Amino acid sequence: MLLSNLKRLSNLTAILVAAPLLCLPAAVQVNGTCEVGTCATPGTLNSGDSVPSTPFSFVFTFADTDKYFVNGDYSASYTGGATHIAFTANANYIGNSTNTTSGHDTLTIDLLQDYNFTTGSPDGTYHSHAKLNVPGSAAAGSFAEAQVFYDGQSTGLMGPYSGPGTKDFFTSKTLSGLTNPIDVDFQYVFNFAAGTTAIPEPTEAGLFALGLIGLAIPAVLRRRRNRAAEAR
Amino acid sequence: MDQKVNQSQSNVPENQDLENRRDVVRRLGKYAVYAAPFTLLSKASAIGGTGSSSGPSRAKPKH
Repeated sequence: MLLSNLKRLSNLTAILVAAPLLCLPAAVQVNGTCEVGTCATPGTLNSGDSVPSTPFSFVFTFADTDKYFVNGDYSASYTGGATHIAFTANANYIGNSTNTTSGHDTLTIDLLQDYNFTTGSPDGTYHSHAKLNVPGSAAAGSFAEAQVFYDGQSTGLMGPYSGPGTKDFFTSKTLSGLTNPIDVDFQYVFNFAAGTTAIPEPTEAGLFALGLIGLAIPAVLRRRRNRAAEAR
Repeated sequence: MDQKVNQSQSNVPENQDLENRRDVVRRLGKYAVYAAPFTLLSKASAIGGTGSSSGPSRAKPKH
């Protein structure tokens, strides 16, 4: 009952967060399922265009009912003849229908963005950086990795990193044969080994806390009123 | 004088009300403290990444 209520609240949150983003460029998909924007035709940036820092969050559910709260933000720009894309994503296991630890789940999260080179060739050297985070609380065997593709060509695999902690990775590669407009795919792979323990999803925990506060206020006021009445 | 007494008496519930409000704010603060660990826990246990990519940077033409 509690889980279904939390699911409804989470879905509502995802809708509220995602709705304003539908008209913006860029799109986010998980394991091929589009979660933010229009993945088949992500927005195209022309020279001088930019996408401001845009937060997102949603719940992704596997066929075995394992659920993950995914959140983060992205931004992109095409200025001075150069493209730039920034992407942050985090995933938390938040439980399943049997209230047990996770199975072995892999989330492949792609940020998709197109760029239209109006002057010059898109060929050249591209530089990528990723700071990967795998907490000590993750089940043994969990890992994270990242990769950025330009028209399907990778600038190099960053990771895998199995933690615990954070680690920076840098890659750069000279790419050729890119065709206009170029499709950019910033990809994270988060591998959760079986046995990951569920934690409360942040938004739900916040809503839960608000619910507690809502219950507490009338009780506190009632008790104060009673005390005041007794004092008189 | 009577007026002053009446004012004084009428201040009692107002002060009480103010005290009630202060107490509620104090308790809200405590609940916020209780809620914080949930958020911190979820942040600390996420697998995640933050990064960026840019280009192209082209080799300078030789003169």
